[in-house]
Amino acid sequence: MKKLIRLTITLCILSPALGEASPKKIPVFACATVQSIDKEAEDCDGNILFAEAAVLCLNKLKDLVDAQTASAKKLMEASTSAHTSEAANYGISMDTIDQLLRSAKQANAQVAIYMKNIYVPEEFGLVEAGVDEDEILLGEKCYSENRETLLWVEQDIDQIIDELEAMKKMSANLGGSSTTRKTGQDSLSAPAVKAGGQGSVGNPKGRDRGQSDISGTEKKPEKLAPTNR
Amino acid sequence: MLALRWYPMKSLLLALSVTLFSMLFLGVDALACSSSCSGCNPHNINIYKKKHPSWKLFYEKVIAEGVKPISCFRSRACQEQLLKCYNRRRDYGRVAKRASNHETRIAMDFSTRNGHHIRAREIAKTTLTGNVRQLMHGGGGFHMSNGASEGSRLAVRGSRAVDSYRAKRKAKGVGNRNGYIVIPGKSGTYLKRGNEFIRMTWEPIRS
Repeated sequence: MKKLIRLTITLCILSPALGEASPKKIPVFACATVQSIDKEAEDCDGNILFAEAAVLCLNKLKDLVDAQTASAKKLMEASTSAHTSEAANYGISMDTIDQLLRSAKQANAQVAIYMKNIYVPEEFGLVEAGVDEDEILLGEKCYSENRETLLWVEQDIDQIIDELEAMKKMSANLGGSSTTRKTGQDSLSAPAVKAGGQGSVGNPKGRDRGQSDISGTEKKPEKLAPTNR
Repeated sequence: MLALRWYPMKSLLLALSVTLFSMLFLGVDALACSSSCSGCNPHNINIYKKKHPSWKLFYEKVIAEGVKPISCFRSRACQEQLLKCYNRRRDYGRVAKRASNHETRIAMDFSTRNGHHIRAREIAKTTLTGNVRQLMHGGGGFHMSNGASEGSRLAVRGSRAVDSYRAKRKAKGVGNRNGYIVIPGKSGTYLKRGNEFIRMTWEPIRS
């Protein structure tokens, strides 16, 4: 019994140190669902709620990424400026980067769903009179401004994904002996992901992005969109 | 002799195949993109003619002057059908859940392209009585109705988060013009989304 108590105390003292070695559990990431926005939004004027949800989603993602990578970024910058080839301990595990990447892609997929679900202005009927649909939609602020916000948010999330991919690549190149790299060793043998590369499997962008597992909305097959009619 | 008989047959067959092809692949799509809400269906004008007789008179006057109203009555099914057709080319979004004035009241739009709205406005001054709502749509349409405001409370509600984000984004994007690009030979400006270019403006690049 005494031995058991001693072991428990020892484990309690050692646990912070052990905790460093295991990957951090990052909070579950989720953005507002279309269903929840739809409770209030019912027409083009309601598109502001989709834009708001997208901005809040981006802010949440930024906070999450910043909290997890702040120290890692500093160390990475320092090691880059010193041109050292020594393996660095960035204080962030591959698992954490992977989790952040998953969250960012989830956020991107959710914003893509918002894009599909915004409301068109009522004047959409004017297309029948031969008025160009782009002209009608771009002329209505409730549509054009909020859609612009959604597209900007998508671009910003894409940038976060690029940064995380770059961090993952750099960590894989330099961090061979990192004490925090207890997991995710498989990524070392995988080909490096080109940061920001179009069509990269690990970094879906725009319409290439995958399904969101938040709302469960099915992704329609990709369409060829005319851009200048 | 056989060849002489075959040539007209061949050209007939060719003409038939071309017609069949256009019907199957072009005609059907064009058919699907037109809907029962085209032009001016005076359904609601007739329904409310006892309550709002001036609108019936207004309708007759504008038609007599060759001014063409649009979307006088637009049912929900009609709007859904129209949007579904356009969504086939690109995801524009959804039709409003709330019923429009075109659906439940007397309303009509006039295209600003041909100046019909100017004449309609003049006729309205001397003909229409009661509450008349006139609204210039951003996208080339002039809306007239006997209904109350179509705008919702959300239009004035705004969002601090969105305002702040847009202000920061505009400030940040001055250098790269917020990611807007011009495509040679195409009007307006575009934002790249994946492999797609989305038209964003009609005017030259904003800084």
